[in-house]
Amino acid sequence: LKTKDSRCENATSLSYLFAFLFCFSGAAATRAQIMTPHYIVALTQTKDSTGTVGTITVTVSGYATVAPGVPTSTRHTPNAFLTIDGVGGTSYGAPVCASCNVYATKSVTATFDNQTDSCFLGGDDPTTGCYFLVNTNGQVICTMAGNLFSGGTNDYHSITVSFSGTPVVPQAGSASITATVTNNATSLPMTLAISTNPSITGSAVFGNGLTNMNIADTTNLVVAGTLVSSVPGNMNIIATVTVDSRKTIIGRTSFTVDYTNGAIPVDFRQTSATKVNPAQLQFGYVWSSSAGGLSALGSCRVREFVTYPGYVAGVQGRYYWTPPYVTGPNSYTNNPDTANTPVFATLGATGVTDIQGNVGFGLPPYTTNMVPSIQVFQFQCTYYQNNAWIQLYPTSGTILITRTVLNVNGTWQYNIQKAGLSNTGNLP
Amino acid sequence: MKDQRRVMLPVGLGLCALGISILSADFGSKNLSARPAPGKVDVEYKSQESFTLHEPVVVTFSVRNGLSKSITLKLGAQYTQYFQFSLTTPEHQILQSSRNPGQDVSVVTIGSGTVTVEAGGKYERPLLLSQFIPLKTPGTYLLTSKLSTEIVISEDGILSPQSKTTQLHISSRDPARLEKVCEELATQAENARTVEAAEFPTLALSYIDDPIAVPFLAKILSGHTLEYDLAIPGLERIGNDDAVESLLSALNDKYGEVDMLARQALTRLQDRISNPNLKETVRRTLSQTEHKSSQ
Repeated sequence: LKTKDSRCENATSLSYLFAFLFCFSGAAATRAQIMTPHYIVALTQTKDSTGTVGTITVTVSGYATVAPGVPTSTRHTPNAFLTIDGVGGTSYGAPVCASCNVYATKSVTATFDNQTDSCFLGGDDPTTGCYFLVNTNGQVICTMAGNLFSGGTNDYHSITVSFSGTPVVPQAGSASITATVTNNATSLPMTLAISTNPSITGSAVFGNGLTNMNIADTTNLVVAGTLVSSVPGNMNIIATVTVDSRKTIIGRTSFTVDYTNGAIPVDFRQTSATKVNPAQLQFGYVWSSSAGGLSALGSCRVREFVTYPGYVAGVQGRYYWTPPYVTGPNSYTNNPDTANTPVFATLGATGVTDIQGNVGFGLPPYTTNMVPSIQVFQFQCTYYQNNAWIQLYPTSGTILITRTVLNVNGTWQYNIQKAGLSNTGNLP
Repeated sequence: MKDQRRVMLPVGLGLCALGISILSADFGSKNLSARPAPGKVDVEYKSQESFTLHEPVVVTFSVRNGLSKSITLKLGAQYTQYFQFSLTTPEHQILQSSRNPGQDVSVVTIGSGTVTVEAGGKYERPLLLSQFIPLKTPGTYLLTSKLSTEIVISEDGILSPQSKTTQLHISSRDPARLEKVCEELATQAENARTVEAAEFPTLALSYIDDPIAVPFLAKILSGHTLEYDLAIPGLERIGNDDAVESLLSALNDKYGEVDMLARQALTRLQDRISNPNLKETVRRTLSQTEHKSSQ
C-alpha cells in the first residue's frame, strides 16, 4: 500500500489486494476556496488460479467540499484511465453534484508470465529494476472549475516496445515486423524471443536463423515461417529486459504462420499522429508486402473497420447521433463504418490518412455526451483464407476512440481521444 | 504523412473518345505531360454531351498546370470527396450532391488525399456522376461541376478553381446500347489483374440502375471477380426479381463477405419487393439465415 498524500485519511479503509492508492486533496489550488477535492485513485490487481491471467482495475472515487455559493447545477464527472501495454482506455462515471461521491472504474485483463512478471503482480519496488507496463489516471472534471483533479501513475513505465501489424507470416516465406522502442535512454538491451505454447505446433525464426535476438532501438525485424501454426495467432514474440538479474516482459505481439499462396500486407504501422483543428485527430498508416514489393499486392485490399455503440456483428446498421450532436435522418454514421475504404493494398507506400472528426453540433442548450467507438484495420487477398477480411492492426485488441462533450468551466467543450492523442475544441 | 500522389502515366485519356468509347477507356487517374496554356491553371470537366438513360455518365476532371511551379489539388477521400455537382433537371428542379455529415466522422484518404501536378503537367480523373446524383429520366440537364477546395501553388499562393456548367442530353433508354455497355464493363472487370484496374468498370456497372445490368452483376459476383462486392449494392439498387434471386443465391456463397453482404442487402430491400411469393421467400430465407448466424 502506498499513499502519496497523507491528507487522504480514508485510503487505508479500502481493502484492495495489492492496492496502490494515490490520494489527492486540494489539487485545484486556485479553486481551493470554492471547492476542495478529496479523491482517491486506487489500482488493484487480481490473478486467476493459474497465475497467468490477471485483471487490473483503476478506480477513482471521492468527493469535494463545496463552499457556499457554488451553483447547485455544478456537476462533477469522473473518468478512470488504464492501459496495459497500450491496451485499454478511459471509462467515464456518471456526472454528480459537486459535493456528491464520484465513481469511475476501468479494468483491463492481461495474460502474463507469472515468473517474469512478478513485479507486475507483486508491486515490487521499482528501484530494483521493475518495469511496469501499466499507465493509470483518474480525473474529475467540474462543470465550473474544469480539471478539478487528476492523478495516477506511469512512473515505472521506463521502456516500451510496440510492434507493427503483421498478423500472418508466410510458411517458407518471411514478413517484416517493426519493433518500435521508446524511452530507452540508457540503451538497455532488450531480448526478443519467438515462442509458442508447447502443446501447439508452429515455428518461426528471426532473420538471424534463431528464435532469439537482442535490440536496443527501433528495429525492422524479419521473421521467417518454418512450420505452420496449428492454432491461429499461436506464435508470440516476447520482449524482455533484464535488470539486476531480473527479467521483465515489456511487450509482445502474436502472429500465425500459414500458407498464404501469395504476398500479403504486413508491417502495418502508424507513421504520424497529429492534432488538427477543429478538434480532430489525424493518423498516418503505411504497410509493406511480405514478398515482391507492394506491386505484388494487386489482389489485396486494406480497410478500416469502426464500430459504434449498438453494433451487431454481421449486421450493417447505423449509429444515429444524439444531442448535442446534430440530429436528424441524415445524422448517422454507418455501423460498422469502413469510411472510404477498402483501398488498394498496392498503395502501402502512400498509405492512408485516417481523420477522426465529428458529425457537427446542433444548437444550444448542450448536454454531456460520450461516445466510444472501436477501430481496427483489416486486409483481404483473393488467394488467402477464401478472401476473408483478416485483422491487420492491431494484431490483437482494438483501438479505442472516444468522443466526449463536457461543460468545462462554463464552456461546452468537445474532446476526442485515440491512441494516446487528445484534442479539444469549444462548441459553437 | 506528407506524401502526395505523383503518377506519371503515359498515354492520355482520349477525351474526345469518351462517347461509345467509355467501353474501352482506361479509367485510372492520370498525371500527364501536356502543353497547358502558359501562366495559368486550367480546370476542366468534360464529358460527352449525349447519353442514353441509365448509361454511366462519366465526367472527366482535368487540371492543366501552365505555371512554372507545381500545384497541389486537395481531392480528399477516394480522390472524390471535395467534388460538388449540381444538376438542373428537365423539370427545372435543382439537385445537389451532398454528403451525409456522418460520413465525415471517420474519413480515410489515400495518402494525404492530395495530388501534385508538376509545372507543365496535367492531371485527369474520371468521375462517375451517378455516384453523386442519379439521372432518372430522359431530357436535357444542366450539370455544374466544382472542386470545393483551393489549389495551392507551391506553398506561395492559392487559386479557387472555377466551376463549369455543361449540358447533358439523356435520350430514351436503349436496351441494345445498355447491354453493350454492360458487357464491355463486365469484360473489363473480369480481365482486370488488380483490384485497382477492376474498380472503376465494376463501379460503373454497379451504378447502371437497370434490369439489363442484373446478369452482368450476378456474373461479377458469382465469379468472384476482383471488386465483386460492388455488385451487391448494384443489385440492391435495381431490386427487381432477378436481382433479388441473385442475392438469394449469394447467401450460399462463403467467399469473402458475400453471404453477409447479400443478407444485408436483402434485409434493406425486402420491403421494395413487389412479387408476393418472392417477398415471402426472402422473408423466410432471411429468418433462417439469421437463426443460423445466431446459433
